[in-house]
Amino acid sequence: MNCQTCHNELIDVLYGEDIEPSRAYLFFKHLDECPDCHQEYLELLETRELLQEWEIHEEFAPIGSRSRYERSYLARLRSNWWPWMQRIAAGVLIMIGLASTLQYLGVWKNPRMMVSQVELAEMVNDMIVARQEEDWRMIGTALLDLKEEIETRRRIELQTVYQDLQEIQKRYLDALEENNRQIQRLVSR
Amino acid sequence: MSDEHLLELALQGDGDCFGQLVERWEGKIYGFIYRYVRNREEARDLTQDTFTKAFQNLDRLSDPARFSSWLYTIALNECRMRFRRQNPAYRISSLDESRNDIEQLDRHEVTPERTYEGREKIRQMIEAFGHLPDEQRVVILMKEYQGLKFHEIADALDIPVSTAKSRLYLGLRTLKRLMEKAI
Repeated sequence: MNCQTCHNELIDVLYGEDIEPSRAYLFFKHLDECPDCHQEYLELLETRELLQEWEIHEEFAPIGSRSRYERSYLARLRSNWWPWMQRIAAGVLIMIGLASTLQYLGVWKNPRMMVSQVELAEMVNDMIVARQEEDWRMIGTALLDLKEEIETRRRIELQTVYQDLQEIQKRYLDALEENNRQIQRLVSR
Repeated sequence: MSDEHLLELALQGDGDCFGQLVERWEGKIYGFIYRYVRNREEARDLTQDTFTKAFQNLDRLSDPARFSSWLYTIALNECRMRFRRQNPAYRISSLDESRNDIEQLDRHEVTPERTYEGREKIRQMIEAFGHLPDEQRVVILMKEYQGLKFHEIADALDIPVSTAKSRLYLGLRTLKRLMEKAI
């Protein structure tokens, strides 16, 4: 691998994306031989690590965000049935007012308003669903963190393996050299 | 439920499904926009605008699998349009907002590992980040903080994958150089 190829693959290795182990091996082998490329790799790695330190310390809670897009959504739906809805709502309000008046006057004696069992079940169900969604979100975040950690470890392990291989290769070359020396000695005798 | 499925239901008129999509994505989109504009109020507004626009143009999204890329494209367009409309001086003043991050860093992250030097480095990095060319800044944001794949970035910005990679490479190098200058 030459500097140009190394340069082309730098980003792939740095992010562990689109890179095969054999190419990564050649890449790191080149880094070992080329101080300039090695330096550049380390610098970019350091910059990446620094970028990761930039955290936003704020929970996202845009005031009115939901209501705004919901308004936009409702504006579409309203076009057909909104006038009717207004009339029905007005009718319900009048009925409630009338019932309250009658209750106050003692004409109508059924003052207790209760939530039905079906409504209660729906409310509980909604709460459970909301809770499950929150759990899934947390699991998702944890998985993402885990993935990042695994990728980092993988990079470090790859470097370690490469260094070990280098060491083995060096030992092998030393042994080979020693053998050659022994053979030459035997031949000369 | 997947984004695609929610999207299909939203297209059929189910507002709750779009609401779920918003809840799923608003944090990420806000993070992206905030790091781009570096002004909290502005980021909140732009996040709202992004989702409003997304909702209005939902039927134009031909491929539901592209939802995330499409959302980032809208967010970026909203940010750029806002900048174009505003006084250029605004951008410089908004850079001061990045100091909030450092102050927060001081308050919440006072750990022995994070030394004064460490914080100073992050501050320099955030300042330098604001001076990067727009196209490099966007790619770094999408890759580093949004975790998008290269093909997703390419899709969102409508550029080839190789261009996305080279912008990222140039961005990281420029950032490093700017930080060295600051020192």
